[in-house]
Amino acid sequence: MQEAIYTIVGIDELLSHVQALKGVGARFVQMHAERNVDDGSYRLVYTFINVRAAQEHIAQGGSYAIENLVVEGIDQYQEIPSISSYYPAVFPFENEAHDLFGLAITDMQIDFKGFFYQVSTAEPMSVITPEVKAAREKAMKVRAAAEAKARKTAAEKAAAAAAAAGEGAAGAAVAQPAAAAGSDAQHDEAAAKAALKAAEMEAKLAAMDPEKAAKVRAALAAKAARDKQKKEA
Amino acid sequence: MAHRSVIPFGPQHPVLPEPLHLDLVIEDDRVIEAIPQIGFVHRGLEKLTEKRDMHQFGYIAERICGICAVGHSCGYASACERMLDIEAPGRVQYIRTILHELSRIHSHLLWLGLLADAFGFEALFYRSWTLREQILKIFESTCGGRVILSINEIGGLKHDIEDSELAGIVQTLDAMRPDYEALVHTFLDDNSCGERLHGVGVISKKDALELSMVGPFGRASGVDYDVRMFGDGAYADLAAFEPIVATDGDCYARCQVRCAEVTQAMDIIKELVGKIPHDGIGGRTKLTPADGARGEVVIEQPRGEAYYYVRGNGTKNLDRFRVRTPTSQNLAGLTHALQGVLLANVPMIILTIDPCISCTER
Repeated sequence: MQEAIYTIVGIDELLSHVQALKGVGARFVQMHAERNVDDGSYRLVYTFINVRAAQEHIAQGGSYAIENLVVEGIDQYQEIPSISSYYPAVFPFENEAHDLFGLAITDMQIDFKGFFYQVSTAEPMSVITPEVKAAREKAMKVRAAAEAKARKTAAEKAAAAAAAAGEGAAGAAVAQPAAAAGSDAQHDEAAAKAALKAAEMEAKLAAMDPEKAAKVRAALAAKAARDKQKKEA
Repeated sequence: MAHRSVIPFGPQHPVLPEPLHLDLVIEDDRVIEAIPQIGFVHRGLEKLTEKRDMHQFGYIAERICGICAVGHSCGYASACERMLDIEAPGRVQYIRTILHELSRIHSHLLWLGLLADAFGFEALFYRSWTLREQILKIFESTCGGRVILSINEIGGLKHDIEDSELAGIVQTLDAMRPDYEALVHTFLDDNSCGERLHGVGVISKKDALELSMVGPFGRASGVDYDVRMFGDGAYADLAAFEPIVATDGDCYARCQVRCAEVTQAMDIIKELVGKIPHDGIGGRTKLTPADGARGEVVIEQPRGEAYYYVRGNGTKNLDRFRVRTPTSQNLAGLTHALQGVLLANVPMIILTIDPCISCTER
């Protein structure tokens, strides 16, 4: 069986970790970059397999490990040292991270200086589209709504349990905060539902033709204004 | 003083119908340096996870390459299963392995044909591809497609392959063996083949390890590494598995390794068909990965170790899909193998590495 190990390392520790893996005879498997949609930072994952150690573990009935070094929170213009002096096979992946993500990798043994891939959009993998952002926000809202619902259910259960216990004044004292929690949960749920609806609409608009989206936005704003006027009247 | 010049090789070249460009720095008739260039047809498939959900993306992963299609589909499905923490039934793993090994046979036969074509042995080319055709017919009769099988899905298979059909596969392979042995005899023992392959493009074991070479390219230089030896999935149930290794590190050794791997794949299929369990074929599961959930696998594609990585973000789409194909890993070895060789041998060396630029340009 296979086991994945992820070790988070700082940029300044990367080369020493790679050197240590090379020292124990680990094979280089791959390196790739990832974009973190939430904060816009980048992550680099370097993968290795120590074949000899893997064979020993398997012979003893254990699992073999895929070892990953993860460098988190990289800024687009932060310099990352190349590991090509230890593992020359990394050069296509480092050039790829540069061309597709715009990462600044220094001292590559074979450096194509941005011409490894011929792309029509610069750094295409660094682009976060409105659709992706909207889908991500929607997923977060759905999660928040589910959590609010779970809180509400828990509060209702607690209130029901307290009422069933029939402990008089002491029981009522317990039920009051529970009821208050239930009211908070209802409010949370309503807010989460409204936010979810807004996020869904935003996702639809993002997928629309920009001109049509502008017209729909204007119509929605006008409707909101009419509703507000009616309420005030 | 020797005259130094740069000769462009590819991206269109009669020997290699794939968009690989090499700048060959030559001195007289000898290559001093080779700088590879890819990226002419980069398709941005990894970015497509934003548009296609996890299940839809299986079809795209399969289309990364027309030769390794089955492997890509199996690798992607396995990585997603690891991320979702689900295990496919034993029968699914067996059928995936059988199809993958069939795909290895078809890939190696295709390569043997191309090799024969490259040194002008047309009859050998026809014979290799005639045998390969039988594997494609097996695919067609069991899955409906000759190249893109679309049988895998996350958690299982779309349809079963009946035991009678599996027995038919073994019969076909058994019937192929005498013809295949005669073919191998010509490749390995014929003078005209040997002269073009012996001592050409030698890479030592030390260099192969240093350059992290994978697949038959690495094993021909003595690198004793084949992902199948880790015993993942159905490979765990094989009575024995030993990687096929040669030591000469030249074009002939690469041909030798691939020839032996075809026979090994036939044996694996026969053994697995005899042991296949009947515990169902699983099916599509409606699961959303947790935010930040990861899954990764390595598998042995016909051209070597391939790596698949998926990362979920709490939606039906993946945050990141990564595939590292064997050819991208072997590019460093390719440049090394070309250093110091005669210009006339460059096409032969490139061909024996069996580069798949389509895989690399995912």
